[in-house]
Amino acid sequence: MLDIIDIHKAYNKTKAVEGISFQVKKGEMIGLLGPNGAGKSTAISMIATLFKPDRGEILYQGESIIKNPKVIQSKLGFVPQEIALYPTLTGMDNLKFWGRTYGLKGSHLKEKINEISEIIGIRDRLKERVDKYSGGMKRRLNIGCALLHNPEIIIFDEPTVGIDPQSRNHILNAVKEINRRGATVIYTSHYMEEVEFLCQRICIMDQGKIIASGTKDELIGTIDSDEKTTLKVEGLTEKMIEKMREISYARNLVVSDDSVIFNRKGNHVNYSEIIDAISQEGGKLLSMDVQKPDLEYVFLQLTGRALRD
Amino acid sequence: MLNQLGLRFKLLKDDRIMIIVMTVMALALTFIFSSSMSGSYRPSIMVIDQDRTQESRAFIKELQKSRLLDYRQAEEDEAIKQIEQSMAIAGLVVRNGFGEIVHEGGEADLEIIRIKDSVELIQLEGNVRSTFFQFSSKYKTALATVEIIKEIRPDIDEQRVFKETQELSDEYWKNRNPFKLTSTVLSAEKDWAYNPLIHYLIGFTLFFSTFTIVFVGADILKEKQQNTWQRKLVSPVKNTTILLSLLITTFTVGMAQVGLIVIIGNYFLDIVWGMNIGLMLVVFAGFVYTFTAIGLVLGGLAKSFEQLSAFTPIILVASAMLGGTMWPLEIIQSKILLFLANLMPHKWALEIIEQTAAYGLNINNYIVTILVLFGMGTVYLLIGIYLHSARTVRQS
Repeated sequence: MLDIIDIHKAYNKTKAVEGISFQVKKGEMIGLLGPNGAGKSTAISMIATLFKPDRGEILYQGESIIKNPKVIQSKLGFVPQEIALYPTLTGMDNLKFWGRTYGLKGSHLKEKINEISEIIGIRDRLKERVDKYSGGMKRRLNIGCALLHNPEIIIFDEPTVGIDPQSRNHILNAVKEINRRGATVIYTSHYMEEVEFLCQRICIMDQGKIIASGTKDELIGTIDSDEKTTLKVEGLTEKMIEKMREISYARNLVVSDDSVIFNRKGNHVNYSEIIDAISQEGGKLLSMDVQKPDLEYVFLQLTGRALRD
Repeated sequence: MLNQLGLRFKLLKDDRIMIIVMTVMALALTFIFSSSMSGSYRPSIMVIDQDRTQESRAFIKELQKSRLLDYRQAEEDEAIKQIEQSMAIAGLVVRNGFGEIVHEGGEADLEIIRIKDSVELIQLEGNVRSTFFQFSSKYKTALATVEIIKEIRPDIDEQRVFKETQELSDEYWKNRNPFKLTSTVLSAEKDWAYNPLIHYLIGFTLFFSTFTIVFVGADILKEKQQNTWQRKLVSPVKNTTILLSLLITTFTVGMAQVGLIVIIGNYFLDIVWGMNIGLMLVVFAGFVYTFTAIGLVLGGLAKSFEQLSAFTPIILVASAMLGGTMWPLEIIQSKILLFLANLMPHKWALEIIEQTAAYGLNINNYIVTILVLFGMGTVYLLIGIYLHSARTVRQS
């Protein structure tokens, strides 16, 4: 449906996007995950036809949207990162204006406003001015304005930045519902859990490049996926620690007060040797926490930095 | 387009305070000027009577009836001193032999002393010319009347007949306006004669309207700041439609403000603008169009509304000064400033209205002015479109 082929964009001498390529299939929800400044917004701004890449090509249904932006504009819903609404107008006036901008009118527009305001949960506040809305409501209306014309592709640029958990959940459920109804979604975020929750496919971006892409499991599979294990032990002794260090799957073992932390190497091992080492030395295992690798961990492994650095 | 226009007019409520303040300011200053200057402001002219005859005295008395100029008789030294100290704008010398010329017929020898040229001198020349024409007509009518009656009744009191004929002529001039052309110049109450008040009134109207026009046009920056501009750019609406809707709204607001001031001035403040209102509105339309385009350029140069608010007043005040809204350009000597004035739309709008007032409507000059204003506007418009049309949106 959408082919992004080796696109580049620089502002002055700063390279914002450096040769990214990916495909978006009809009906899928693809996530662009990366820290602030990774180039996500620049990449999707080019897909949204807000500006042209310096180099590369973007094809929609095989047609270049760089040469002819009109081929995608009426099929596209764009939810910018910043609130893009008229604050002194009512929610209803905003929806009407953006609906008419995409060619809706009369009873059809009215029906769509009713339907969308229901999905985003602001139907009873439509007559109020937008500047009286909470941050979460503005975000939801911001999304609603992009959905009125039943777009085939919807681009969400970090739509949950700076809002309360309740509104965030509302937005995430709304995005899921929109995708379930058949829309193709491109979703950017630096919140790993959002992308994990929503997207079938994920592209991890850093410094203007896609450094990995695939499903969540595929991405985790690309790294040396140790589980981080934390043990709380009563009666911890030096000998006990020495015995644990000798166990082959316990790597990078460190001790902190009554806790022992190590990376468990390999997927098919149990902890019997560890438990034996503790009990043989007269200790008592109080708790064990096993942390499986996630996208945050994948990003850390790939870049040496945390997602929210 | 209708959707975009509807939005723009809806959003005008956000600018309502600025629009009202600018309109009220222009009207208030117009009112203050009209009530404080109208009728009381008369440029002073020093009159030096070298002839010292009955005729020269009668002529000076006739001049002193003027409602437009304040003729003050003085000795030559005193008169020159007054002119040098700018207490009077010019001097009028009634030379020796004036009485004889009036009596015998011929060209009167009158001299105007001036320090520099000004628009008021055009008014002075016209006033002296028409007063002399009226005076000599009355004088000759009275002389002829005395001659005719003397032939029928040689015993008449010549002095009395002469005086009564002149008085009758006076009444005739006042009540019948026998010469329409002359009466237009003389009756200053409603028919137009150059009045510097008009210069300032048009100046204020133009000056305040520029603020409204530029700041309404600068809504484009508000849109960029609230990100609706970017959202529009990715919609199927053409960029030209977005810009055109903004320009139409700005132009309409500017014209409404200027039109309101002109109409209120004309009907409620009793200001005589000196030009057919329809023709004048076309001049103002050219001016508003130009400033709508200038607003687009300024909006394209500024990075934010706050930045625009900081530098716009400086540009608007400076251009108004250069364009002669604050003072007549006739007092400017610098060639550079006069050249720069030609680049200011204010100058062209003011000039045509004043020219029409002084010399009547010259259709060629009028068309040139309209073409210059609309041409200037189109150049600025193209620059403005260039600055805004690039799809690359400036990154914040």
